[in-house]
Amino acid sequence: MNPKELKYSKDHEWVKTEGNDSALIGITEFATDSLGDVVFIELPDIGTKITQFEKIGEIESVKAVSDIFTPISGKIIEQNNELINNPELINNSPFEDGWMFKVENINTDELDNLMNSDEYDQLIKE
Amino acid sequence: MKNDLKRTALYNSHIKQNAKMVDFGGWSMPIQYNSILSESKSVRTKSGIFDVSHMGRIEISGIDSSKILNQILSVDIEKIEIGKAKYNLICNKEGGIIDDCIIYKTNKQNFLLIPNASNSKVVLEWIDSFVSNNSNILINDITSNTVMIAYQGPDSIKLLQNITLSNLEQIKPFNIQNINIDKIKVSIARTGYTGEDGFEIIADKKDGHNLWEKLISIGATPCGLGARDILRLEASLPLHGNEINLSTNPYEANLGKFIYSDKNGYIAKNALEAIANKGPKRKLVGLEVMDRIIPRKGHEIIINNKIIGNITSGGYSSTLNKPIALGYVPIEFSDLNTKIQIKIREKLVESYICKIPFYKRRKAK
Repeated sequence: MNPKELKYSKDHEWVKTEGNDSALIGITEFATDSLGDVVFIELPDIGTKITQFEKIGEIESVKAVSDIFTPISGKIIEQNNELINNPELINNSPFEDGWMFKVENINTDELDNLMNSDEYDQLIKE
Repeated sequence: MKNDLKRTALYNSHIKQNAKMVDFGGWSMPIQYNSILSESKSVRTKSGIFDVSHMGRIEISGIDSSKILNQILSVDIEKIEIGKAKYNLICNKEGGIIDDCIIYKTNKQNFLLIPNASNSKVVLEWIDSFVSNNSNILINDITSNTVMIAYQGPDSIKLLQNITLSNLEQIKPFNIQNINIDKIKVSIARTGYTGEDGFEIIADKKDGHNLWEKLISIGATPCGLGARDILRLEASLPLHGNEINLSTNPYEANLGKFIYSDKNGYIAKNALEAIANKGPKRKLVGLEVMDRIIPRKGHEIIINNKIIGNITSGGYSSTLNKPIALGYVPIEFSDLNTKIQIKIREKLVESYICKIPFYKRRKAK
């Protein structure tokens, strides 16, 4: 269920690299399942520089609020505007239409600090 | 989750249906089956069932039962007809709210009291403190021998009618009757905690699973406590522990109409009269937020950089598609449309006082 081509953090975010410079970031299905219905996402403004594993925002579901940690460093160049009016996209399509933001100037070495899908499968089984 | 949590007779049904279980007042209860938003929508548009077996069910009978209950409950027991129910407040001598309950009069000297799950023990002890050695009263806690299922929503009466020979239309709001639902003996009341039409059904523990499955088979959506909480918030029904507790009084919680001031014997009578005469200092109000961020219990209500109160409950209304909340503010700030701010984590969110209930169903013709 966790796509093979993505990399994962222990905070249940995923990274999809696009070439060597940019990446899409979202949260995993495991995370959306435990959050329940998402109603609100708060992310830093476009242009903000973020550092791997730092808290950068919040995701609020009907049940509770959780922190968003970025799984990779870079500069935010795009946010998924669809989520403003349809936050349920995160629940319905966490790995595709429900992506959260895009960063550039990434350092691909940081991907070594993340898990592959097999390792992440194992983590959420525990 | 702690292993020593109490389980209702429907626990295995919830597990089978992949419900997410949480600790609620010492009970392992389903918070959701699928999605809190879709479950609450089902109840507003069709029908849904809730396992509410964690709530207390206390039978009270005997010649002295009316007299003793009249000291404990805010309503006049003598005036309740057989087969009818009343919402009421159990207050202490100072007027603080021990619990809010429904009392059913099932026969001349027989009553059924439904306290909140987490207050059952306190309410039982409170009743006991009014009983002396020569009182003729029998108190029987039937919570663990029975199940209670709330069947709520505009379609509930029509669908339930398909599996019972009793005429459900004859069970008027706040009435209780003994009937059979497809051969299962139940006590059924036209009451609920969602703001919709519907029923609360008590059956023997051994019939619980069967009844639950039958209700699903006629079209009821299984709903968890998450949906129940947002539905009651939309209907602005108070939750003990949030809107009301020992340090709130009924008048500031807009519950003064449930205090029967002309009856005698109520332990809280003098204290409540004094509060009513002075007038409450603060008031429970509804709040709407101009954002999707959700105010939650404990968040501060602010006017001109000054904290004036706190949120008692907040949630995301699937019916109105926006966050809603209840909270206390001083009387002088309690007018409709008063602009306030709510401090949600580090952010000041703009909000205003709106009319409650947030949701009111259209009465069927």
